[in-house]
Amino acid sequence: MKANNTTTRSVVRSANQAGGGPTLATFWLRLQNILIFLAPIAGVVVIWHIATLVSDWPVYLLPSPLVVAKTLWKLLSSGLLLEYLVASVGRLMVGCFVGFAVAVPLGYAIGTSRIMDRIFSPVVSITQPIPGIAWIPLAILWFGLGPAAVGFIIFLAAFFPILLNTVAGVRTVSRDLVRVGHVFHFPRQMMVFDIILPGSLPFIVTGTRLGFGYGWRALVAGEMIAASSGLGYMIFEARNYLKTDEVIVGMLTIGLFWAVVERLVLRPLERRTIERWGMSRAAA
Amino acid sequence: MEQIQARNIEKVFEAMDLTRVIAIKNLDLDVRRGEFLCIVGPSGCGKSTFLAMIAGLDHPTAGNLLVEGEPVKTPRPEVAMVFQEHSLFPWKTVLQNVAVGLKARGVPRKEREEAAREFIEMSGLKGFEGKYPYELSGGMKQRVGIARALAVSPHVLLMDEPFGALDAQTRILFQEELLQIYDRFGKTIVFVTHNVEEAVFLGDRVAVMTFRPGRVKEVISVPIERPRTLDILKDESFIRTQSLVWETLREESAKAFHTYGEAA
Repeated sequence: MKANNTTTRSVVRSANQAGGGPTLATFWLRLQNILIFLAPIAGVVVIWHIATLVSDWPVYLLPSPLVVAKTLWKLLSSGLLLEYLVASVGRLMVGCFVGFAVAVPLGYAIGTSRIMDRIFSPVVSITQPIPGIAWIPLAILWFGLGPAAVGFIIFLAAFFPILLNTVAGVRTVSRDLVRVGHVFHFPRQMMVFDIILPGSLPFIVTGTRLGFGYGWRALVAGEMIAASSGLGYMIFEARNYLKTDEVIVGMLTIGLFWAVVERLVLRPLERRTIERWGMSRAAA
Repeated sequence: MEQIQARNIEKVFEAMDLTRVIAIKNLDLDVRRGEFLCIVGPSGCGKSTFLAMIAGLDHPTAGNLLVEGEPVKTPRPEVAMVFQEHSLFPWKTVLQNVAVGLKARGVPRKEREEAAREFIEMSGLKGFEGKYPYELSGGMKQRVGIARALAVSPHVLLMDEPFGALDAQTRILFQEELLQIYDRFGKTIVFVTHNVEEAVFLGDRVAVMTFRPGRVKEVISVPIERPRTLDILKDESFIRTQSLVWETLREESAKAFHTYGEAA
């Protein structure tokens, strides 16, 4: 009862505040959400710690969370982790942007032209299921051991989800709107930029979010084999020296970084482009 | 001279299984300059297809269709169309939606937005310029659709059941507004509907179409002067014309009903 009263009061107070910025009530709600999100993760860490205590595994097989935390601090303060993260993200950006730049126009062409569809669809349906890692041997043969090979792997990984979603998006653009364009004599570039592209944008944004995610996974695989910097390289190198704590730090950085990018950048971006026009993928 | 001339129009659709459906056959119709012509007909009579042909969006498989004495090959600049619902661009504001036809004609932004604002104000949309379509009611959306068509200063306005999705009260208000627009701008209007009362209330003439294959069965003149208000709904001549249209239509609706289970 007492707790109830306090909540009511704080809600009333926040309602009285002009402007509607973050109020005390929403702050508590947010904190609660964060705690609920973190609780299971804390649980895993605790179990992990107990496992290291009760097992007699050596530290190179399973370092305790404390050892990993120390290594994390060491790699952070030396700047190495940040350097590798920047190297990885840089490669990701280049590969993904090239993938985007090729996939969207090609997706547009396949989605709007029957001939392009006939030409490209069979090729796409065979190459699309091949995982990026399977391309590594060819990539190394063609581009050598180095950033170009890794970039090629990322490009392929990001390319297909963006392509397939663009095709789907272009095909779901309302026929009625295309007719409106014809009646009002839209020139070709208006047909593209005022109807087809905005109409398929929800799909393109979703494809891009997926593509960047696949690219991130492919990047790590590529760096393990064909790079001399980056998070994937760090993990693979650490394994050679049995620095298992560094392996785990690298893995956690990969997972954590992308979870943050997804939650703070990609999903809000997707939601906002779609909500802004009252569109949804289901209705589009 | 007739502004729109349709002679022996035929439309044959080829279905996926290669069966041929004759949607329209022997359709003759003249639309006079400046008149308000309504087309009524049962479901599946091809009235919307015919309207799309005048717009240049669809093409007859045989026959002659002339607008301003010229055969229609592609959409013509002097013909604008008000579509059924869902025809606004969800990613454009009201202002951008109304101005879009002028943008397509290469009118610079400042000029086209100025012109669009005029039609927005006239359509009772002032204050909604920056809203997106999903923020508007069905009636408001249809106003935007009409303003968009008027903004390109067409000579001919084609309307394909524009009020079909509105509730009865809103619909009457829109009909009155449309009559005012017609009296003010003096455009030729071709209005497709399945609502007989609406057709007689709005039109100078009502063309009744047959069930498939669709053709014009009869063109009935509405002997009621303009300006018209809701009061004419009680006039004897209105009621007489309405029942005449109904009688002409009834036999065709019955055919549609027995084919589709849907009359109009």
